Amino acid sequence: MKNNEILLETIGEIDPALVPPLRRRTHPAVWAAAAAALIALAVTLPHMGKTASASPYDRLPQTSLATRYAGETPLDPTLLPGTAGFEGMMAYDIAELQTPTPWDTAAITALPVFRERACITEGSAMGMVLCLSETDMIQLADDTAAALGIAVTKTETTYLRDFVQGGYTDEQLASVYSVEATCEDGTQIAVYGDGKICITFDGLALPDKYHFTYDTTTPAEADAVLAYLTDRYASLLGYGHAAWYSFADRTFDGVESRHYYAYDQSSDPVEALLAKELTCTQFAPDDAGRLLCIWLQDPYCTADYLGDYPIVTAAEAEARLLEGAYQSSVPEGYLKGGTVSAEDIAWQTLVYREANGTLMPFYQFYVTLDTSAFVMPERLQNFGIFYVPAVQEDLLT
Amino acid sequence: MEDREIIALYWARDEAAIRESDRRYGRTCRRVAQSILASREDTEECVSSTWLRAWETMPPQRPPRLGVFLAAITRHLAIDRWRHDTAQQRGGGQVPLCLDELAECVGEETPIEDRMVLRQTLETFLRGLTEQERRLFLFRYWYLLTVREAAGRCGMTAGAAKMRLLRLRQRLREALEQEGIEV
Repeated sequence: MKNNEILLETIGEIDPALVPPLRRRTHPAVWAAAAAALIALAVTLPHMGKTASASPYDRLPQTSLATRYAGETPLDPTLLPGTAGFEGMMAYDIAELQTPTPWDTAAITALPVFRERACITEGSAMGMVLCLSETDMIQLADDTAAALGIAVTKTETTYLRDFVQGGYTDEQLASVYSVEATCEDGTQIAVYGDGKICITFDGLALPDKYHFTYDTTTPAEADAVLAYLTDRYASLLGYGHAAWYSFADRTFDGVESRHYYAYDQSSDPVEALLAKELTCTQFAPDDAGRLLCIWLQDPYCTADYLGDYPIVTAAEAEARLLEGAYQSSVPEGYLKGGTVSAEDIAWQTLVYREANGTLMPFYQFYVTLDTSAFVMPERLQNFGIFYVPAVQEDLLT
Repeated sequence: MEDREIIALYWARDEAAIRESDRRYGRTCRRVAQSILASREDTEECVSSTWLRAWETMPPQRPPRLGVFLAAITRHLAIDRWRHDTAQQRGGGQVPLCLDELAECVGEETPIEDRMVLRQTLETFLRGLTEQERRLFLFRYWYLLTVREAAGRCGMTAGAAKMRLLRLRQRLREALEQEGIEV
Protein backbone atom coordinates (compact mmCIF):
# COMPACT_ATOMS: atom_id res chain seq x y z
CA MET A 1 0.00 0.00 0.00
CA LYS A 2 1.32 3.47 -0.87
CA ASN A 3 1.99 6.04 1.85
CA ASN A 4 -0.81 8.35 0.73
CA GLU A 5 -3.22 5.40 0.92
CA ILE A 6 -1.99 4.62 4.43
CA LEU A 7 -2.50 8.27 5.35
CA LEU A 8 -6.04 8.33 3.94
CA GLU A 9 -6.85 5.10 5.76
CA THR A 10 -5.37 6.36 9.04
CA ILE A 11 -7.36 9.59 8.85
CA GLY A 12 -10.41 7.33 9.02
CA GLU A 13 -9.14 5.82 12.27
CA ILE A 14 -8.68 9.01 14.30
CA ASP A 15 -10.46 9.68 17.57
CA PRO A 16 -14.19 9.95 16.66
CA ALA A 17 -14.47 12.94 18.99
CA LEU A 18 -12.51 14.96 16.44
CA VAL A 19 -14.81 14.16 13.53
CA PRO A 20 -17.53 16.75 12.87
CA PRO A 21 -20.93 15.19 12.28
CA LEU A 22 -22.21 15.39 8.73
CA ARG A 23 -25.73 14.98 9.90
CA ARG A 24 -26.20 16.20 13.40
CA ARG A 25 -27.13 13.99 16.29
CA THR A 26 -30.05 15.36 18.18
CA HIS A 27 -31.45 15.48 21.66
CA PRO A 28 -34.87 16.58 22.80
CA ALA A 29 -35.03 20.32 23.31
CA VAL A 30 -36.40 21.91 26.43
CA TRP A 31 -38.88 23.97 24.51
CA ALA A 32 -41.27 24.83 27.27
CA ALA A 33 -38.56 26.35 29.47
CA ALA A 34 -36.91 28.02 26.51
CA ALA A 35 -40.15 29.54 25.32
CA ALA A 36 -40.77 31.09 28.71
CA ALA A 37 -37.26 32.49 28.76
CA LEU A 38 -37.60 33.83 25.25
CA ILE A 39 -40.67 35.83 26.08
CA ALA A 40 -38.79 37.45 28.95
CA LEU A 41 -35.75 38.10 26.77
CA ALA A 42 -37.46 39.40 23.69
CA VAL A 43 -35.97 42.85 23.23
CA THR A 44 -35.88 44.46 19.83
CA LEU A 45 -33.72 47.45 19.05
CA PRO A 46 -33.61 48.79 15.51
CA HIS A 47 -30.29 49.15 13.76
CA MET A 48 -29.14 50.56 10.48
CA GLY A 49 -29.49 48.48 7.42
CA LYS A 50 -32.56 46.63 8.61
CA THR A 51 -35.79 48.03 7.30
CA ALA A 52 -37.91 44.90 7.63
CA SER A 53 -38.78 43.11 10.85
CA ALA A 54 -38.94 39.48 9.82
CA SER A 55 -35.28 38.52 10.21
CA PRO A 56 -34.61 35.81 12.83
CA TYR A 57 -32.17 38.21 14.46
CA ASP A 58 -34.79 40.84 15.17
CA ARG A 59 -35.85 39.38 18.50
CA LEU A 60 -32.32 39.46 19.91
CA PRO A 61 -30.91 42.55 21.65
CA GLN A 62 -28.85 44.34 19.03
CA THR A 63 -26.29 47.10 18.94
CA SER A 64 -27.96 50.29 17.86
CA LEU A 65 -26.38 52.90 15.65
CA ALA A 66 -29.16 55.38 16.28
CA THR A 67 -26.80 57.61 18.27
CA ARG A 68 -23.46 58.14 16.57
CA TYR A 69 -20.29 59.50 18.18
CA ALA A 70 -16.59 59.67 17.42
CA GLY A 71 -14.57 56.64 18.41
CA GLU A 72 -11.63 57.35 20.71
CA THR A 73 -10.38 53.96 21.87
CA PRO A 74 -7.14 53.09 20.01
CA LEU A 75 -7.60 50.03 17.79
CA ASP A 76 -5.32 47.05 17.22
CA PRO A 77 -5.61 46.28 13.48
CA THR A 78 -3.79 42.92 13.64
CA LEU A 79 -5.70 40.34 11.63
CA LEU A 80 -5.69 36.94 13.28
CA PRO A 81 -4.37 33.99 11.30
CA GLY A 82 -7.17 32.45 9.32
CA THR A 83 -9.15 35.66 9.22
CA ALA A 84 -6.98 37.48 6.73
CA GLY A 85 -9.12 36.39 3.83
CA PHE A 86 -7.96 34.46 0.85
CA GLU A 87 -4.35 34.26 -0.07
CA GLY A 88 -5.20 34.33 -3.69
CA MET A 89 -8.05 34.24 -6.16
CA MET A 90 -7.71 33.23 -9.76
CA ALA A 91 -9.48 34.68 -12.76
CA TYR A 92 -8.83 35.43 -16.41
CA ASP A 93 -9.80 39.02 -15.77
CA ILE A 94 -10.17 41.01 -12.55
CA ALA A 95 -13.72 41.87 -13.63
CA GLU A 96 -14.68 38.26 -12.86
CA LEU A 97 -13.84 38.87 -9.19
CA GLN A 98 -15.18 42.35 -8.74
CA THR A 99 -18.27 42.75 -6.60
CA PRO A 100 -20.59 45.75 -6.58
CA THR A 101 -19.62 48.70 -4.43
CA PRO A 102 -22.93 50.50 -4.02
CA TRP A 103 -21.29 53.40 -2.24
CA ASP A 104 -19.10 56.29 -3.20
CA THR A 105 -15.87 55.68 -1.29
CA ALA A 106 -14.93 59.33 -1.60
CA ALA A 107 -18.14 60.24 0.26
CA ILE A 108 -17.18 58.15 3.29
CA THR A 109 -15.00 59.96 5.80
CA ALA A 110 -15.72 57.89 8.92
CA LEU A 111 -16.98 54.38 9.60
CA PRO A 112 -18.39 52.55 12.62
CA VAL A 113 -16.15 50.13 14.47
CA PHE A 114 -17.40 47.31 16.70
CA ARG A 115 -15.88 45.29 19.50
CA GLU A 116 -16.88 41.65 19.78
CA ARG A 117 -18.15 40.96 23.28
CA ALA A 118 -16.47 37.56 23.58
CA CYS A 119 -13.67 36.77 21.16
CA ILE A 120 -11.06 34.14 22.01
CA THR A 121 -7.62 35.43 21.06
CA GLU A 122 -5.39 32.46 21.92
CA GLY A 123 -5.08 28.73 21.37
CA SER A 124 -6.73 26.56 18.77
CA ALA A 125 -10.01 28.43 19.19
CA MET A 126 -8.30 31.72 18.29
CA GLY A 127 -10.61 34.10 16.46
CA MET A 128 -13.73 32.31 17.60
CA VAL A 129 -16.52 34.57 18.85
CA LEU A 130 -18.61 32.76 21.46
CA CYS A 131 -21.03 35.39 22.64
CA LEU A 132 -24.60 34.21 22.40
CA SER A 133 -26.25 32.23 25.18
CA GLU A 134 -27.78 28.84 24.56
CA THR A 135 -31.21 30.40 25.05
CA ASP A 136 -30.50 33.04 22.40
CA MET A 137 -29.24 30.42 19.98
CA ILE A 138 -32.26 28.19 20.46
CA GLN A 139 -34.42 31.23 19.85
CA LEU A 140 -32.54 32.01 16.64
CA ALA A 141 -32.95 28.43 15.45
CA ASP A 142 -36.64 28.50 16.26
CA ASP A 143 -37.20 31.86 14.56
CA THR A 144 -35.21 30.74 11.53
CA ALA A 145 -37.37 27.64 11.24
CA ALA A 146 -40.51 29.74 11.65
CA ALA A 147 -39.38 32.03 8.83
CA LEU A 148 -39.03 28.93 6.67
CA GLY A 149 -42.50 27.77 7.66
CA ILE A 150 -41.27 24.69 9.50
CA ALA A 151 -40.75 23.75 13.13
CA VAL A 152 -37.73 22.58 15.08
CA THR A 153 -38.21 19.16 16.60
CA LYS A 154 -34.88 18.53 18.31
CA THR A 155 -31.66 20.33 19.17
CA GLU A 156 -28.17 19.52 20.28
CA THR A 157 -25.80 21.92 21.97
CA THR A 158 -22.02 21.83 21.58
CA TYR A 159 -19.83 23.65 24.08
CA LEU A 160 -16.26 24.79 23.59
CA ARG A 161 -15.16 22.16 26.14
CA ASP A 162 -16.44 19.45 23.81
CA PHE A 163 -13.59 19.87 21.35
CA VAL A 164 -10.71 21.85 22.89
CA GLN A 165 -8.20 20.92 25.52
CA GLY A 166 -6.49 23.06 28.20
CA GLY A 167 -5.57 26.72 28.10
CA TYR A 168 -9.02 28.22 28.52
CA THR A 169 -10.95 29.64 31.45
CA ASP A 170 -13.90 27.74 32.87
CA GLU A 171 -16.18 30.46 31.52
CA GLN A 172 -14.77 30.05 28.01
CA LEU A 173 -15.03 26.26 28.18
CA ALA A 174 -18.68 26.59 29.18
CA SER A 175 -19.39 28.88 26.20
CA VAL A 176 -21.75 27.53 23.60
CA TYR A 177 -20.11 26.85 20.25
CA SER A 178 -23.26 25.84 18.42
CA VAL A 179 -26.84 24.77 18.67
CA GLU A 180 -27.81 22.28 15.98
CA ALA A 181 -31.50 22.08 15.30
CA THR A 182 -33.31 19.44 13.30
CA CYS A 183 -36.61 20.40 11.72
CA GLU A 184 -39.60 18.24 10.96
CA ASP A 185 -38.69 18.00 7.27
CA GLY A 186 -35.04 17.11 7.90
CA THR A 187 -33.69 20.64 7.39
CA GLN A 188 -30.75 21.32 9.70
CA ILE A 189 -30.24 24.74 11.28
CA ALA A 190 -26.89 25.37 12.93
CA VAL A 191 -26.59 28.51 15.03
CA TYR A 192 -23.08 29.48 16.10
CA GLY A 193 -21.87 31.52 19.05
CA ASP A 194 -21.00 34.43 16.77
CA GLY A 195 -24.59 34.59 15.53
CA LYS A 196 -23.95 32.97 12.16
CA ILE A 197 -26.69 30.64 11.01
CA CYS A 198 -26.25 27.83 8.51
CA ILE A 199 -29.40 26.26 7.11
CA THR A 200 -28.63 22.98 5.37
CA PHE A 201 -31.20 21.39 3.14
CA ASP A 202 -31.19 17.87 1.88
CA GLY A 203 -30.61 19.16 -1.64
CA LEU A 204 -33.55 21.45 -2.39
CA ALA A 205 -34.39 21.43 -6.10
CA LEU A 206 -35.04 24.79 -7.77
CA PRO A 207 -37.55 25.19 -10.60
CA ASP A 208 -36.16 23.82 -13.85
CA LYS A 209 -35.68 27.22 -15.45
CA TYR A 210 -32.94 28.14 -12.96
CA HIS A 211 -29.35 27.07 -13.41
CA PHE A 212 -27.62 27.10 -10.02
CA THR A 213 -24.10 25.71 -10.14
CA TYR A 214 -20.55 26.57 -9.27
CA ASP A 215 -18.97 26.16 -12.65
CA THR A 216 -21.45 26.43 -15.52
CA THR A 217 -23.74 29.29 -14.48
CA THR A 218 -23.40 32.55 -16.37
CA PRO A 219 -23.62 35.91 -14.58
CA ALA A 220 -27.10 36.45 -16.09
CA GLU A 221 -28.26 33.02 -14.91
CA ALA A 222 -26.82 33.73 -11.48
CA ASP A 223 -28.72 37.00 -11.39
CA ALA A 224 -31.96 35.15 -12.12
CA VAL A 225 -31.25 32.51 -9.47
CA LEU A 226 -30.52 35.17 -6.87
CA ALA A 227 -33.65 37.10 -7.74
CA TYR A 228 -35.63 33.91 -7.21
CA LEU A 229 -33.88 32.91 -3.96
CA THR A 230 -34.09 36.36 -2.35
CA ASP A 231 -37.78 36.46 -3.19
CA ARG A 232 -38.45 32.91 -2.02
CA TYR A 233 -36.63 33.53 1.27
CA ALA A 234 -37.65 37.17 1.73
CA SER A 235 -39.23 36.48 5.11
CA LEU A 236 -36.05 34.80 6.28
CA LEU A 237 -33.71 37.52 5.07
CA GLY A 238 -35.82 40.38 6.37
CA TYR A 239 -34.34 42.83 3.89
CA GLY A 240 -36.26 45.97 3.05
CA HIS A 241 -34.70 46.40 -0.41
CA ALA A 242 -32.88 43.22 -1.32
CA ALA A 243 -29.95 43.41 -3.71
CA TRP A 244 -27.71 40.59 -4.87
CA TYR A 245 -24.54 39.74 -6.71
CA SER A 246 -22.35 36.85 -7.71
CA PHE A 247 -18.73 36.53 -8.66
CA ALA A 248 -16.61 33.65 -9.85
CA ASP A 249 -13.03 32.80 -9.09
CA ARG A 250 -11.36 29.86 -10.77
CA THR A 251 -9.44 26.76 -9.81
CA PHE A 252 -5.91 25.98 -11.00
CA ASP A 253 -7.57 24.18 -13.91
CA GLY A 254 -9.38 27.37 -14.92
CA VAL A 255 -12.78 26.01 -13.90
CA GLU A 256 -15.18 28.61 -12.51
CA SER A 257 -16.39 28.58 -8.93
CA ARG A 258 -19.30 30.97 -8.60
CA HIS A 259 -20.45 32.47 -5.27
CA TYR A 260 -23.90 33.87 -4.57
CA TYR A 261 -24.73 36.71 -2.14
CA ALA A 262 -27.64 38.96 -1.18
CA TYR A 263 -27.76 42.02 1.05
CA ASP A 264 -30.01 44.91 2.02
CA GLN A 265 -29.66 47.82 -0.35
CA SER A 266 -29.40 51.41 0.89
CA SER A 267 -28.85 54.78 -0.71
CA ASP A 268 -26.70 55.85 2.24
CA PRO A 269 -23.07 54.92 1.45
CA VAL A 270 -22.19 53.84 5.00
CA GLU A 271 -25.37 51.81 5.40
CA ALA A 272 -24.75 50.19 2.02
CA LEU A 273 -21.22 49.18 3.00
CA LEU A 274 -22.35 47.82 6.39
CA ALA A 275 -25.17 45.86 4.80
CA LYS A 276 -23.00 44.26 2.15
CA GLU A 277 -20.19 43.43 4.54
CA LEU A 278 -21.88 42.61 7.82
CA THR A 279 -25.43 41.39 7.25
CA CYS A 280 -25.18 39.69 3.88
CA THR A 281 -26.53 36.24 3.06
CA GLN A 282 -24.75 33.53 1.11
CA PHE A 283 -26.47 30.82 -0.92
CA ALA A 284 -24.54 27.67 -1.83
CA PRO A 285 -25.52 25.02 -4.37
CA ASP A 286 -24.62 21.37 -4.17
CA ASP A 287 -22.94 19.54 -7.00
CA ALA A 288 -26.33 18.63 -8.47
CA GLY A 289 -27.42 22.26 -8.80
CA ARG A 290 -29.81 22.16 -5.84
CA LEU A 291 -29.79 24.51 -2.85
CA LEU A 292 -27.38 23.06 -0.29
CA CYS A 293 -27.27 25.77 2.34
CA ILE A 294 -27.96 29.37 3.28
CA TRP A 295 -25.59 31.30 5.55
CA LEU A 296 -26.93 34.26 7.52
CA GLN A 297 -24.94 36.62 9.72
CA ASP A 298 -25.57 39.63 11.90
CA PRO A 299 -22.71 40.80 14.13
CA TYR A 300 -24.97 43.49 15.63
CA CYS A 301 -26.08 40.72 18.01
CA THR A 302 -22.59 39.98 19.29
CA ALA A 303 -20.61 43.22 19.02
CA ASP A 304 -20.77 46.63 20.71
CA TYR A 305 -20.49 49.89 18.83
CA LEU A 306 -17.20 51.67 19.66
CA GLY A 307 -17.87 54.79 17.65
CA ASP A 308 -17.26 56.20 14.19
CA TYR A 309 -13.59 56.38 13.24
CA PRO A 310 -12.14 58.71 10.60
CA ILE A 311 -10.74 56.78 7.65
CA VAL A 312 -7.94 57.43 5.21
CA THR A 313 -8.66 57.89 1.52
CA ALA A 314 -8.22 55.15 -1.03
CA ALA A 315 -5.15 56.94 -2.38
CA GLU A 316 -3.60 57.16 1.10
CA ALA A 317 -4.27 53.46 1.65
CA GLU A 318 -2.62 52.64 -1.65
CA ALA A 319 0.43 54.67 -0.66
CA ARG A 320 0.69 52.65 2.57
CA LEU A 321 0.36 49.43 0.61
CA LEU A 322 3.24 50.44 -1.65
CA GLU A 323 5.31 51.32 1.44
CA GLY A 324 4.82 47.75 2.62
CA ALA A 325 2.48 48.69 5.49
CA TYR A 326 0.01 45.91 4.74
CA GLN A 327 -1.18 42.58 6.10
CA SER A 328 -1.38 39.56 3.86
CA SER A 329 -0.82 35.83 3.89
CA VAL A 330 0.65 35.95 0.36
CA PRO A 331 4.29 34.82 0.39
CA GLU A 332 6.60 37.56 -0.84
CA GLY A 333 8.06 35.11 -3.34
CA TYR A 334 4.78 35.27 -5.28
CA LEU A 335 5.09 39.04 -5.78
CA LYS A 336 6.59 40.28 -8.99
CA GLY A 337 10.02 41.55 -8.01
CA GLY A 338 9.34 40.69 -4.38
CA THR A 339 7.31 43.83 -3.65
CA VAL A 340 3.90 45.29 -4.46
CA SER A 341 4.05 47.80 -7.27
CA ALA A 342 1.36 50.24 -8.41
CA GLU A 343 0.95 48.62 -11.82
CA ASP A 344 0.17 45.26 -10.19
CA ILE A 345 -2.78 46.62 -8.18
CA ALA A 346 -5.76 45.31 -10.10
CA TRP A 347 -8.58 46.48 -7.82
CA GLN A 348 -9.30 47.84 -4.37
CA THR A 349 -12.40 48.01 -2.25
CA LEU A 350 -13.55 48.65 1.31
CA VAL A 351 -14.35 45.64 3.51
CA TYR A 352 -14.87 44.83 7.18
CA ARG A 353 -12.58 42.30 8.86
CA GLU A 354 -12.18 41.12 12.41
CA ALA A 355 -8.88 42.23 13.89
CA ASN A 356 -8.13 40.80 17.31
CA GLY A 357 -11.76 40.96 18.38
CA THR A 358 -12.50 44.29 16.68
CA LEU A 359 -14.69 44.49 13.61
CA MET A 360 -13.18 47.32 11.60
CA PRO A 361 -12.83 48.56 8.02
CA PHE A 362 -9.88 47.73 5.78
CA TYR A 363 -8.98 48.58 2.25
CA GLN A 364 -8.67 45.30 0.40
CA PHE A 365 -6.30 45.21 -2.57
CA TYR A 366 -6.18 42.62 -5.33
CA VAL A 367 -2.58 42.43 -6.52
CA THR A 368 -1.54 40.54 -9.65
CA LEU A 369 0.95 37.84 -8.66
CA ASP A 370 3.79 36.22 -10.53
CA THR A 371 2.21 33.08 -12.00
CA SER A 372 5.43 31.50 -13.23
CA ALA A 373 5.56 29.32 -10.11
CA PHE A 374 2.09 27.89 -10.77
CA VAL A 375 0.98 25.29 -13.25
CA MET A 376 -2.14 26.88 -14.67
CA PRO A 377 -3.75 27.65 -18.02
CA GLU A 378 -2.30 30.42 -20.14
CA ARG A 379 -3.79 33.88 -19.40
CA LEU A 380 -5.21 32.73 -16.05
CA GLN A 381 -4.10 35.23 -13.43
CA ASN A 382 -3.58 34.84 -9.70
CA PHE A 383 -4.52 37.81 -7.54
CA GLY A 384 -3.14 38.08 -4.02
CA ILE A 385 -5.22 39.77 -1.32
CA PHE A 386 -3.64 42.53 0.77
CA TYR A 387 -5.17 44.57 3.60
CA VAL A 388 -4.45 48.09 4.80
CA PRO A 389 -6.38 49.43 7.84
CA ALA A 390 -8.87 52.09 6.77
CA VAL A 391 -8.89 53.81 10.16
CA GLN A 392 -6.50 56.74 10.43
CA GLU A 393 -3.11 55.75 11.76
CA ASP A 394 -3.19 57.98 14.86
CA LEU A 395 -6.10 55.90 16.18
CA LEU A 396 -4.30 52.57 15.74
CA THR A 397 -2.07 50.92 18.31
CA MET B 1 -34.79 7.30 18.56
CA GLU B 2 -31.65 8.32 20.43
CA ASP B 3 -28.22 6.74 19.93
CA ARG B 4 -28.25 4.91 23.23
CA GLU B 5 -31.61 3.35 22.38
CA ILE B 6 -30.35 2.18 18.99
CA ILE B 7 -27.24 0.71 20.59
CA ALA B 8 -29.47 -1.05 23.12
CA LEU B 9 -31.34 -2.64 20.21
CA TYR B 10 -28.06 -3.95 18.79
CA TRP B 11 -27.13 -5.37 22.17
CA ALA B 12 -30.57 -6.97 22.47
CA ARG B 13 -30.03 -8.51 19.01
CA ASP B 14 -33.17 -6.75 17.84
CA GLU B 15 -33.20 -6.27 14.06
CA ALA B 16 -35.01 -2.99 14.51
CA ALA B 17 -31.51 -1.65 15.22
CA ILE B 18 -30.76 -1.78 11.51
CA ARG B 19 -33.98 -0.03 10.54
CA GLU B 20 -33.37 2.71 13.13
CA SER B 21 -29.71 3.09 12.09
CA ASP B 22 -30.78 3.55 8.51
CA ARG B 23 -33.47 6.02 9.48
CA ARG B 24 -31.11 8.11 11.59
CA TYR B 25 -27.76 7.76 9.85
CA GLY B 26 -28.55 6.28 6.45
CA ARG B 27 -28.28 9.63 4.73
CA THR B 28 -24.86 10.33 6.23
CA CYS B 29 -23.54 6.89 5.34
CA ARG B 30 -24.90 7.12 1.80
CA ARG B 31 -23.25 10.53 1.41
CA VAL B 32 -19.89 9.11 2.50
CA ALA B 33 -20.16 6.07 0.24
CA GLN B 34 -21.36 8.14 -2.73
CA SER B 35 -18.36 10.50 -2.37
CA ILE B 36 -15.99 7.56 -2.58
CA LEU B 37 -17.71 5.28 -5.07
CA ALA B 38 -19.70 7.68 -7.27
CA SER B 39 -22.18 4.90 -7.94
CA ARG B 40 -25.69 4.60 -6.52
CA GLU B 41 -25.71 0.82 -6.80
CA ASP B 42 -22.35 0.39 -5.06
CA THR B 43 -23.38 2.94 -2.46
CA GLU B 44 -26.49 0.98 -1.49
CA GLU B 45 -24.48 -2.21 -1.28
CA CYS B 46 -21.88 -0.52 0.88
CA VAL B 47 -24.46 0.95 3.26
CA SER B 48 -26.18 -2.42 3.61
CA SER B 49 -22.81 -3.91 4.51
CA THR B 50 -22.37 -1.17 7.09
CA TRP B 51 -25.42 -2.32 9.03
CA LEU B 52 -24.18 -5.91 8.94
CA ARG B 53 -20.75 -4.89 10.17
CA ALA B 54 -22.36 -2.83 12.93
CA TRP B 55 -24.45 -5.87 13.87
CA GLU B 56 -21.25 -7.94 14.14
CA THR B 57 -19.45 -5.40 16.32
CA MET B 58 -22.23 -4.44 18.76
CA PRO B 59 -21.88 -6.10 21.21
CA PRO B 60 -19.17 -5.96 22.45
CA GLN B 61 -18.71 -2.35 21.27
CA ARG B 62 -20.73 0.54 22.64
CA PRO B 63 -19.58 3.52 20.55
CA PRO B 64 -19.79 6.95 22.20
CA ARG B 65 -20.73 8.56 18.86
CA LEU B 66 -22.85 6.18 16.86
CA GLY B 67 -23.08 8.39 13.77
CA VAL B 68 -19.32 8.72 13.37
CA PHE B 69 -18.88 5.03 14.22
CA LEU B 70 -21.26 3.97 11.44
CA ALA B 71 -19.86 6.48 8.95
CA ALA B 72 -16.35 5.21 9.71
CA ILE B 73 -17.46 1.66 8.87
CA THR B 74 -18.98 2.93 5.63
CA ARG B 75 -15.82 4.84 4.77
CA HIS B 76 -13.66 1.79 5.38
CA LEU B 77 -15.89 -0.51 3.34
CA ALA B 78 -16.20 1.99 0.51
CA ILE B 79 -12.45 2.55 0.25
CA ASP B 80 -11.95 -1.23 0.16
CA ARG B 81 -14.53 -1.42 -2.59
CA TRP B 82 -12.87 1.46 -4.43
CA ARG B 83 -9.51 -0.37 -4.29
CA HIS B 84 -11.13 -3.47 -5.73
CA ASP B 85 -12.85 -1.46 -8.44
CA THR B 86 -9.62 0.36 -9.28
CA ALA B 87 -7.88 -2.97 -9.73
CA GLN B 88 -10.73 -3.88 -12.05
CA GLN B 89 -10.29 -0.58 -13.93
CA ARG B 90 -13.60 0.73 -12.60
CA GLY B 91 -14.56 3.28 -10.01
CA GLY B 92 -14.27 7.01 -9.60
CA GLY B 93 -15.36 9.43 -6.90
CA GLN B 94 -13.19 11.60 -4.71
CA VAL B 95 -10.62 9.02 -3.58
CA PRO B 96 -8.08 9.51 -6.40
CA LEU B 97 -8.29 13.28 -5.99
CA CYS B 98 -7.81 13.08 -2.22
CA LEU B 99 -4.94 10.62 -2.65
CA ASP B 100 -3.21 13.01 -5.04
CA GLU B 101 -3.61 15.84 -2.56
CA LEU B 102 -2.40 13.76 0.40
CA ALA B 103 0.63 12.61 -1.59
CA GLU B 104 1.97 16.12 -0.95
CA CYS B 105 2.20 15.23 2.75
CA VAL B 106 4.01 11.90 2.52
CA GLY B 107 6.68 10.64 0.18
CA GLU B 108 7.10 7.13 -1.14
CA GLU B 109 10.78 6.47 -0.56
CA THR B 110 10.32 5.23 2.99
CA PRO B 111 7.18 3.18 3.64
CA ILE B 112 5.21 4.24 6.71
CA GLU B 113 5.42 1.38 9.15
CA ASP B 114 4.32 2.79 12.48
CA ARG B 115 0.65 3.61 12.01
CA MET B 116 0.24 4.30 15.72
CA VAL B 117 2.69 7.22 15.50
CA LEU B 118 0.99 8.39 12.32
CA ARG B 119 -2.42 8.38 14.00
CA GLN B 120 -1.13 10.17 17.09
CA THR B 121 0.60 12.79 14.93
CA LEU B 122 -2.59 13.30 12.96
CA GLU B 123 -4.65 13.72 16.12
CA THR B 124 -2.17 16.21 17.61
CA PHE B 125 -2.15 18.09 14.31
CA LEU B 126 -5.95 18.22 14.19
CA ARG B 127 -6.26 19.34 17.81
CA GLY B 128 -3.95 22.24 17.02
CA LEU B 129 -6.15 23.56 14.24
CA THR B 130 -8.91 26.11 14.54
CA GLU B 131 -12.39 24.63 14.58
CA GLN B 132 -13.05 25.80 11.03
CA GLU B 133 -9.76 24.38 9.76
CA ARG B 134 -10.41 21.03 11.44
CA ARG B 135 -13.91 20.83 10.00
CA LEU B 136 -12.67 21.72 6.53
CA PHE B 137 -9.83 19.18 6.65
CA LEU B 138 -12.08 16.38 7.86
CA PHE B 139 -14.99 17.18 5.55
CA ARG B 140 -12.47 16.79 2.74
CA TYR B 141 -10.30 13.88 3.90
CA TRP B 142 -12.52 11.99 6.35
CA TYR B 143 -15.88 12.31 4.57
CA LEU B 144 -14.19 12.82 1.17
CA LEU B 145 -16.63 15.54 0.19
CA THR B 146 -15.84 17.63 -2.87
CA VAL B 147 -13.91 20.80 -2.10
CA ARG B 148 -16.99 22.78 -3.01
CA GLU B 149 -19.29 20.99 -0.63
CA ALA B 150 -16.72 21.05 2.17
CA ALA B 151 -16.30 24.78 1.56
CA GLY B 152 -20.06 25.34 1.55
CA ARG B 153 -20.43 23.53 4.85
CA CYS B 154 -17.70 25.73 6.34
CA GLY B 155 -19.10 28.98 4.98
CA MET B 156 -16.13 29.54 2.69
CA THR B 157 -15.68 29.98 -1.00
CA ALA B 158 -14.25 27.02 -2.89
CA GLY B 159 -11.21 29.08 -3.81
CA ALA B 160 -10.56 29.96 -0.18
CA ALA B 161 -11.06 26.33 0.83
CA LYS B 162 -8.54 25.15 -1.75
CA MET B 163 -5.94 27.59 -0.52
CA ARG B 164 -6.67 26.72 3.11
CA LEU B 165 -6.38 22.98 2.38
CA LEU B 166 -3.09 23.58 0.59
CA ARG B 167 -1.72 25.31 3.65
CA LEU B 168 -3.10 22.61 5.95
CA ARG B 169 -1.38 19.92 3.91
CA GLN B 170 1.87 21.86 4.15
CA ARG B 171 1.45 22.09 7.92
CA LEU B 172 0.66 18.37 8.14
CA ARG B 173 3.75 17.60 6.11
CA GLU B 174 5.83 19.64 8.57
CA ALA B 175 4.20 17.89 11.52
CA LEU B 176 4.94 14.49 10.01
CA GLU B 177 8.53 15.49 9.31
CA GLN B 178 8.98 16.52 12.93
CA GLU B 179 7.86 13.05 13.98
CA GLY B 180 10.41 11.47 11.69
CA ILE B 181 7.94 10.34 9.06
CA GLU B 182 9.88 10.80 5.84
CA VAL B 183 8.36 12.87 3.08
